[in-house]
Amino acid sequence: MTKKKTWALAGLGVLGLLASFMIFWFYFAKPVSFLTNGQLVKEINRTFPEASASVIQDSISVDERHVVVPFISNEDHYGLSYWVWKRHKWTVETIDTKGEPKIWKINRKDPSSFHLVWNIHPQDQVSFIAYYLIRDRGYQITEGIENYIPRVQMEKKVSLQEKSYGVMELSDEWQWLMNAVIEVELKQKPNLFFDPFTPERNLFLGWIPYDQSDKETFPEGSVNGNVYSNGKMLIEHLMILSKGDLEIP
Amino acid sequence: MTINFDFTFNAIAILMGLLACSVIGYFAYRIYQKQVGKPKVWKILIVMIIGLFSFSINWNMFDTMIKIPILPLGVGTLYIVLKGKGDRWQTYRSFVWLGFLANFIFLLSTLVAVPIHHAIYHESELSAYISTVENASITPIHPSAENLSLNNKKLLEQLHEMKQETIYSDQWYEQTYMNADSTNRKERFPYQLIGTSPKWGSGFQTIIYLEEDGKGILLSTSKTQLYFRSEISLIEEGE
Repeated sequence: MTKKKTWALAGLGVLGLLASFMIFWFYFAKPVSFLTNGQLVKEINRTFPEASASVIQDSISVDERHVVVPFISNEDHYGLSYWVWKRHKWTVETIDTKGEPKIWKINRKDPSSFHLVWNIHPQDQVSFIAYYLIRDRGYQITEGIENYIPRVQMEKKVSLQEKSYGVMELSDEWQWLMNAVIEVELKQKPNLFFDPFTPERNLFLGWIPYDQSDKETFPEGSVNGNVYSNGKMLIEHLMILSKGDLEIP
Repeated sequence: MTINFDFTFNAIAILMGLLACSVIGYFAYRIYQKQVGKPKVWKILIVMIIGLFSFSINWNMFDTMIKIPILPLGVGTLYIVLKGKGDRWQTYRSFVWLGFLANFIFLLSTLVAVPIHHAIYHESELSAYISTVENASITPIHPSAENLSLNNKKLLEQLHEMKQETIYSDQWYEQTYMNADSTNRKERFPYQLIGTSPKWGSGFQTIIYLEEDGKGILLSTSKTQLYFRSEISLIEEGE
């Protein structure tokens, strides 16, 4: 081997090492500490001026790389922003000018990563929220083969007495059912073309807001917000239900 | 509380897949021995993988997805690339065709695996879907469920005793709505049975529902539904 070749090889080696270090740093390195409230306000308003954030209420870590930041705007709206650590930077992925409940599916195939997120305006006088996981009862007869689909109706109540906002994992019971449904579905179509948007076919999430006297109320000030989204996150709307939609044995 | 879902896999399919791979490997070895020009092994591997690419028809036969290769796209591509480059095409020709042939060998292995799977794991037996019950429990999925718990011992005893029954899906559905007003409906299957695992190597995935009287099990698999009844209730008061 000539000297020239040796040098070239050594150069290539160093370059490769540098590249792999850069790639690791860029994509896989652990997050640095989260942004300050001042930085958050600036970043929200730069990304989505309509949000006009003024007060940061809290920064809630969902996991190491995902943070929910509820905020209050200059127009006294209670909003939500969703932050992700990616490409070695904290990026705001979605901003919602109002805080009606949404579900954040961080990993669309894994219900243990799903989180309910809300920030209800205090003027709506919501004392607690009841969340529901529901699937309609059904049956199917094709060529003599019968299928019966039991109704699912699971409930989880959350108090808003202390804070207007919150982030919550799905309960174990909900996860067990969703996991079982997803696994059977995956078995049916193990293709690459597995539709990520309806893994829990026919299961849906809903909520009912209640006031102090346990009566259903409509959260006027928390619905129909405007949303900025870079489209990369799976944050889904929750249907508002009423007691008439429920079965109460 | 955490529950580990068992990693379920289809042992027969894996075994037959391995067998198919070794058959293909054997053919490749034979070609290699006979051939005069001996290319590098990693090049042979790449060429065979290219050969795998084909235009194929997917056909659902007896609930099993089958891929029937028709057009050898990989072979064609390699031919165009190597055509003008001396005898290189001659060197790799057999291997790229073997790659295409491998599609059929895999197809054959699936066709053999399906009946073997049927023979070992009886799809109409409850014990194929529920094999271990030590960590089993029930969880309510509807408010009409009562605060009861599973008797694991009874479930284990009943696994081979329970009889398969007909699913009267439309009747069950309608009964629910006939007997009560809208706010007072009861679900016929208000519990989910969790923490069980299917027979080892069966690869069965199920959602298991338990009937309100504790005597019926409704199994939803990826293909169908099965319904079993026992003489005695599998649930009881208290922990």
